[in-house]
Amino acid sequence: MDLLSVDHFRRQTVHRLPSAGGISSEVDPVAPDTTNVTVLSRFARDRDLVSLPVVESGVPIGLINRNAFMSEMSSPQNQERYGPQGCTAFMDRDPLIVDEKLNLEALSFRVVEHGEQTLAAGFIVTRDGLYAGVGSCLRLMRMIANLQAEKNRQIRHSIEYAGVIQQAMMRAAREALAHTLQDSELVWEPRDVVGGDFYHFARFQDGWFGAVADCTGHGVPGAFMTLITSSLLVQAIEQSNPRDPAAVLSELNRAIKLLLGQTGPRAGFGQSDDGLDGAFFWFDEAKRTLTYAAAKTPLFVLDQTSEDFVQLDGDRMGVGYVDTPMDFCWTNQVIAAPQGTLMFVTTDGLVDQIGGPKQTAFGKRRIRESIIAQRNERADVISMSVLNAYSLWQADQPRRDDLTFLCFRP
Amino acid sequence: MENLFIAATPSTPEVDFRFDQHTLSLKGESYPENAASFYGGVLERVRQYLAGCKGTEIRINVSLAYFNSSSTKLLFSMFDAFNQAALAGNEVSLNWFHDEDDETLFEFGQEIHQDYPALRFTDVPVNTD
Repeated sequence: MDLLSVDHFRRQTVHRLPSAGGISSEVDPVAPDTTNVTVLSRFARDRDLVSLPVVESGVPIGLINRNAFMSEMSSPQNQERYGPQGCTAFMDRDPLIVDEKLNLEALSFRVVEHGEQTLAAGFIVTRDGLYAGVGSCLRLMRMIANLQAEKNRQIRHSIEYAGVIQQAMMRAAREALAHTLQDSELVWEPRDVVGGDFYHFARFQDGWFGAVADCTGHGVPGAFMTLITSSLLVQAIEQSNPRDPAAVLSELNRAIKLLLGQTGPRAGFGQSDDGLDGAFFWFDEAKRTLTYAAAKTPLFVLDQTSEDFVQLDGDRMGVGYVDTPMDFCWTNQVIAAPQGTLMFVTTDGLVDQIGGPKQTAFGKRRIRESIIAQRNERADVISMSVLNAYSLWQADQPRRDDLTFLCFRP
Repeated sequence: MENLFIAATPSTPEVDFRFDQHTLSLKGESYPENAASFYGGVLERVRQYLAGCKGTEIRINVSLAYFNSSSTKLLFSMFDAFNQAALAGNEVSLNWFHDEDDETLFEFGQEIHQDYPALRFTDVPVNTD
């Protein structure tokens, strides 16, 4: 077989859905007038024979299960009495009978409905109503388990590869960030390999533009939204001005609404209503000022001389959603950022994670405390301290959402 | 109108809407893969119920330990419907239950309080020690 035909063969076998016929074997049936003595000798001869089908003119009429039959025929008196009689006495007159084309999923539901006896005895398979073979439930279980594992493997591989693409999409931003802000740390941890959290970073002659955002959903739908957002954001920056992050937000809002058709009143629950929350920044290197505009994503600023963080809140309006007006204007806030000022921005995955002694949210206070405890360290050390506190809080609770945060000194 | 009860799962809350007693309760966590499909039917029933209310005293109890952002949007749609009903002359009270140490949920409640001023909002910090 050349390579092409091997591949073709493999594709055929993987995608052909196995059916009842594929997991049955042709057990030589007995007629209704076959004596119990003969049946006994069949079971004695063939130790692996679990059930013996009884067939009359090609049509199955019952199934004799080894264990049920043997317990009836165990005593010498019964052997003497029933031995010469026809084998229909000890057969199950209502075994599960299915067509060979029945798929395995439907078959397993039929087995469960039919009751415990079927699990032990198996089922009869027919072709055009005539006896074709006997299927074992152990084999069915094994096939179903394999199919399940195969399906999971395919989905996992598919998502893992999607993750490669998603990370490639953001690699340039990550490199620009690392290059521009030496004292910075970005943590991006999707809950399910791919996710709805997103960041962007671009350097310009007079400063830099940065964004940390949380698109609706997580997993695959969330990742779709980050791809859309990523390309629309690059266009929005070109069409407006990176020095005006509020204008970039407005431009992005319009673009997402148009692209997803989220312009009119809510049409119903089939319609998409997706967008993002996030914080957008422009840092002016000459003036050392940070312009911040945000949709529901606060910025924490720790001045070198202050005891505690100052929290800046953005506008309480998400980007792109059906309810967000087409012409909504976000607000820029400009703050001075002298050398050494520590800034921290995060998506809600960090703040809202359930954990601790009472299964409550991690919360902003614990984030602030773990940063302040390390306030003189580099951003990567501080981030590690936040992640440690977060992990301790989460403990054995499942992660609820994607997690992204950026810690930096501009 | 028939009451609505949906049992909780790890990612969806218990919905116990006793329309006959005008007491609607949500309890648990909310982060379904498809929030619109979970809340679509619930919201539909709530709207039908509210349409038939006139000068009714309605009590809403919300005790959600966690909800993701897509659930938040749909919960807000529901609160909006309650707020409209309150503006239309019903007496709608919203009891917002949360652990007393959970500042995140407390703050969220405050936002709802601000956004839907027609609801009689009560913050209910619970001591679970």
